[in-house]
Amino acid sequence: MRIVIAEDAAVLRDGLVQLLTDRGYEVPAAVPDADGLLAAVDEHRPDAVVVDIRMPPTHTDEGLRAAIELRRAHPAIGVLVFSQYVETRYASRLLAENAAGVGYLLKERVVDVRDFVDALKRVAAGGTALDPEVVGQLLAASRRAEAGLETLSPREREVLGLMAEGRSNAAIAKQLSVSDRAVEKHVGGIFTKLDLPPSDEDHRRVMAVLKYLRG
Amino acid sequence: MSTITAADARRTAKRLLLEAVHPRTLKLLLYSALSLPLGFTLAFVIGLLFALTVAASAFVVGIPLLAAVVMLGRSQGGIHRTLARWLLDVDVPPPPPLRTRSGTFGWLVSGLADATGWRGLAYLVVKLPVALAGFLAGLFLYGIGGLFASYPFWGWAIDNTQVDSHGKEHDSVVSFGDTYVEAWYWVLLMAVAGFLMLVAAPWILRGIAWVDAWLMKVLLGPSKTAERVQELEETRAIAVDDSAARLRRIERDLHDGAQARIVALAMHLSQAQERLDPDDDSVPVDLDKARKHVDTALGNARLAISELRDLARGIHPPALDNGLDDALATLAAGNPVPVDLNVDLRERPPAAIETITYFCVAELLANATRHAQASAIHIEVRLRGDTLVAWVGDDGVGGAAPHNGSGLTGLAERVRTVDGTLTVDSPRGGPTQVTLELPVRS
Repeated sequence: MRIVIAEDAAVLRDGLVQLLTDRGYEVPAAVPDADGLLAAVDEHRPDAVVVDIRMPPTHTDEGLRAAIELRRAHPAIGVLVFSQYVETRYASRLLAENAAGVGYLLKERVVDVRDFVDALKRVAAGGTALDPEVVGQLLAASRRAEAGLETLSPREREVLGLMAEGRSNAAIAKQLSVSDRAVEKHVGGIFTKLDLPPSDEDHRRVMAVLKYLRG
Repeated sequence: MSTITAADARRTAKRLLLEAVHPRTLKLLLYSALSLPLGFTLAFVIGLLFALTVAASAFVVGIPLLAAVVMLGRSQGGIHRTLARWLLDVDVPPPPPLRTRSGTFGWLVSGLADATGWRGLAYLVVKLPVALAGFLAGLFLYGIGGLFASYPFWGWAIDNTQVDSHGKEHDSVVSFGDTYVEAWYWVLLMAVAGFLMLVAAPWILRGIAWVDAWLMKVLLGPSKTAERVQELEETRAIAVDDSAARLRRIERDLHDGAQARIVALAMHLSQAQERLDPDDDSVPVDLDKARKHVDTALGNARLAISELRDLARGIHPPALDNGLDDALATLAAGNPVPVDLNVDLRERPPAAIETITYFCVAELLANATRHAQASAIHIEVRLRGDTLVAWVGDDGVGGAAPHNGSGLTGLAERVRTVDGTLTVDSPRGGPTQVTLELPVRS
């Protein structure tokens, strides 16, 4: 897997490069700003990018805008946005069109190296990886305008929340201490209640998450 | 002392003579000419309206009309200010706009109680004698002065035979009693008198205009209170911006510095843990790599500690708790360029003044150290009456100037929020001395 990193804090940029190369991933470029990211993606065509939201020159949402631009230009490249804070508005903008191949993680998640790498792999493969904090805040923000979600049982909501984080059925089962079968049943129930047309499982999961997050 | 040369004298004489026809004098003359009819018309019309509305105020309907006249008194000030700006080059700042109170009678009450409006009306009254003086002075000095000065050139051409009380004939246009301006010395004297009037005219007109401008400043400009309010509004805005900017800077420093370092530190510790854990199947156990991660983590921890310490000190230096003397001594001791520090405060100034003095001196010290190429810096802080005065000087290259966006402008603005001033004396080539004056109020 080839990964391009855009992060303005040198200490984190170097740390990420070292962490990923150590695990056998290729990092063809690590850049400190959004322009550098777009150029590096054009040059190296990576499988995924890790983008810090706040980068020079204004230190506001450069990284996010670059991420959205990348998703339009190269939908196949997974984009993992990496931020010190959760900004609900930013997350909504990122997920506005399509939640496939998108991730939004708090920087501190990198401390759980394995989870971080798993999230990156998921995003590269077209899956979703949302920080539990992001999911929680988006959920709180969308509570007011719930549409179709009220039909879900509390357990189904819980499962859907974990799906939004990008967990597999097995991981959800482990987290909730229930059997895989039970999770599958909940997931099926969610698809039905949200009226999602039958298609491949991964795509339906993403659709369900999107619907969930948009409320 | 320089000696006055003939050339100097000639130049001065020429200037004096030409002043009467200099464009600025002609503008002044135009102002005097316009001032009287304008002032008279306005005073007449508004005065009449005023008298009528006062009379009508016996009935209820007159009261709102009176408020309207007061507002008229406010708005007509703009005409005088504009005229003064065009012709006198006197810029009287406009008073702050009228703030009408809410409620049914808000408009009425604010109109009637509008001091600016009443002052505008008062100006119309006191303007009249001044305008009259200016008008007459212009007419007399230029008219009569011009006629007198040019008399030798036209007087002889006019055949005007007059007979005096003794029955003697004189050929003269002008006479003072029985003295006829006929003999050459009388003609000359008259010409000289007219000439002097023309030379004096600009100064006299200017004097009258000065009185007018002063009246405008007092009666048509913002009142002392309004000026103070405006000053306070401005400095409050600066203070709010300044503190918001400071918070933003602290957040940025934390985000880019300590926060990033601690994330990196945790990242390395977590990888070290992986390398030490035989049950972890993602990476093989490797003591060397684990040690490297721990070393890097430790390095990041040290840096984070020092960055946090610097940041905390930047928010509030702990030494300041013991007073400016201690805080500045700490600051001076750590400075790479030697500092001669002299703090003499018989009592402690308020905390806000101490803090602002500390940060200003710290920034000035940093400037002197970084940009001035100085070999010695002196700092002196003293109380002079109710003012804290701080001098920061160096023997460096000078040329420090408070231009837009420079650190010095920022400092000056910050100082202004507590009614202080910052004066920079920094000629090219040096030395530089910056004086900080802050009022100390209990």
